[in-house]
Amino acid sequence: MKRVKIISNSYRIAHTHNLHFIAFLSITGVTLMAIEYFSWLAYIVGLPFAPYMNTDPVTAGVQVFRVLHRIFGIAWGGLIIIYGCYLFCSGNLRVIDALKKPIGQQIQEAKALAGLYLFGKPLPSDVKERLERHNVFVAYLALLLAIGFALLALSGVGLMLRFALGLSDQTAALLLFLHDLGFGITVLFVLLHVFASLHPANRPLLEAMFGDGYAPFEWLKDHMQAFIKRYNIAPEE
Amino acid sequence: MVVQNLPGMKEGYAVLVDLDKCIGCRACQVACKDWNGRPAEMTKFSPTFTNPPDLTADDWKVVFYYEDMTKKALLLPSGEKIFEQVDIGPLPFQCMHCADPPCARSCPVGAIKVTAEGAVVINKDECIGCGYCATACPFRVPKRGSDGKFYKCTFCIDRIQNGMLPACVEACPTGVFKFGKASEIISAAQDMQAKGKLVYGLNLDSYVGGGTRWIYASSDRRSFAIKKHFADRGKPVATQQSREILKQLIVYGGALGALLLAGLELVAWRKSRVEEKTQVKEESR
Repeated sequence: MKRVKIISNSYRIAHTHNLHFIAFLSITGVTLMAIEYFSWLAYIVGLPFAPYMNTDPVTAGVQVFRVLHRIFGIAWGGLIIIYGCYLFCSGNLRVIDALKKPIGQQIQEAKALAGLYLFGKPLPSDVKERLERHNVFVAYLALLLAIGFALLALSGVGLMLRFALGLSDQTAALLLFLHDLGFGITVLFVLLHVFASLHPANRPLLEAMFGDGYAPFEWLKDHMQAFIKRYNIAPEE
Repeated sequence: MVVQNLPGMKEGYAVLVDLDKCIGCRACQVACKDWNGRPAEMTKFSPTFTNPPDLTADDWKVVFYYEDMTKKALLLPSGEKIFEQVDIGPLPFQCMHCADPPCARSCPVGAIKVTAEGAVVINKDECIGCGYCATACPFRVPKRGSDGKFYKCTFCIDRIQNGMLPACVEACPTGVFKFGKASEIISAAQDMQAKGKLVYGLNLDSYVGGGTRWIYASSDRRSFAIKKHFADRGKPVATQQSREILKQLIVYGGALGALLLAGLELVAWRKSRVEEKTQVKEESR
């Protein structure tokens, strides 16, 4: 089968670690946010630490989560900044290219993709011809994620340095709200992203992301025609 | 938030603070510090007599002093003379012990308990120092101590449970504080309200459960102290209210969204499998 490399190694590494960080930060963060639903998790984690911390297992679990949330938050922020700088400086930031299309074309593309994802309707040929490496849904989802990440990162740093910076309770309350809002936006992104990536129409893309980065040329002809034409990609064995 | 069984507004105990009787002697402030073993601390001058200028982790009760022009009457041989004079209105302030305390709702480990007596108490051993209580409190009461944990008035729950009055109530030389069953205190406050006194602590926003267990009352002469003190206190904290709504949206909306999308995904996979099988059959023919 003819296959084309569509996902770079750096992208795959960044994506995988982002996935780990978001999953871990979500679990540790959501426990603090909604302890009434996740106290069981805090209990399990806190049980071995409780005697040493002189408190009950749930409190110990939340405290452990809180510390880990900060450490992993900093590490995740570092990853995002480094990868973001790399993308920006190397000119590889192509994910929002679809937004440069006229708005009419964007709506047409979105309608066609929604038809494909929800009702299995085949893509119209004119839409197929214009499909880039990242379609219009991916571009808007990337924007959503960028907003979510920015809110999470800025408010997270502010909350972490709250007492060192002498922030008022009102400012801290605002930062907490923005942190929760950022998380809400990220949850929305994750739901839509997981739906799209697990959809049968995108199966080769999923295999490429968690495999070697290659996708079948036949599939690319249907889903990334403009990308193939623009780069004059020759199929390789 | 840890779900708690809150006593009703008319259950437990409450205190009626009659500001007309307050002479601003600070006996309540000292008694609070003494009973709770809070250390002395360096303070600083403020434009008023209030000292320290606000509640701290070691000062759970502070008498605030407000100044305003009040009308006074002077009886002269020629008749009554009404004139305006600067007056100082002391207002002893501590945790208001809300009926449904937002601090307890916001605490991620349930360290803030509401006792059957209605006291809102921070359990020091469970406090993780996140400060969510301070961000949620509309009265700006919980304060961070040097150990990173948060502190505030306990309603002297240790005394109440042993049949004693709260330390500040007992120490007051002029009987400013009337401590009793919440139902009786609320009735007394409503009577004062009916007599034209300004009452604060009844009929508040649902954010604090509609009322507080410390209820302030004053005649016109001292009402400026209540108006000034609670001008920017006691209002719902918009960011915290939004957080409470957002949390429900994220938890329930996220779960519903995931279920809906999983359903759509299953339909898509089923369709794709049927198409694959049909294709295989056609090819084999």
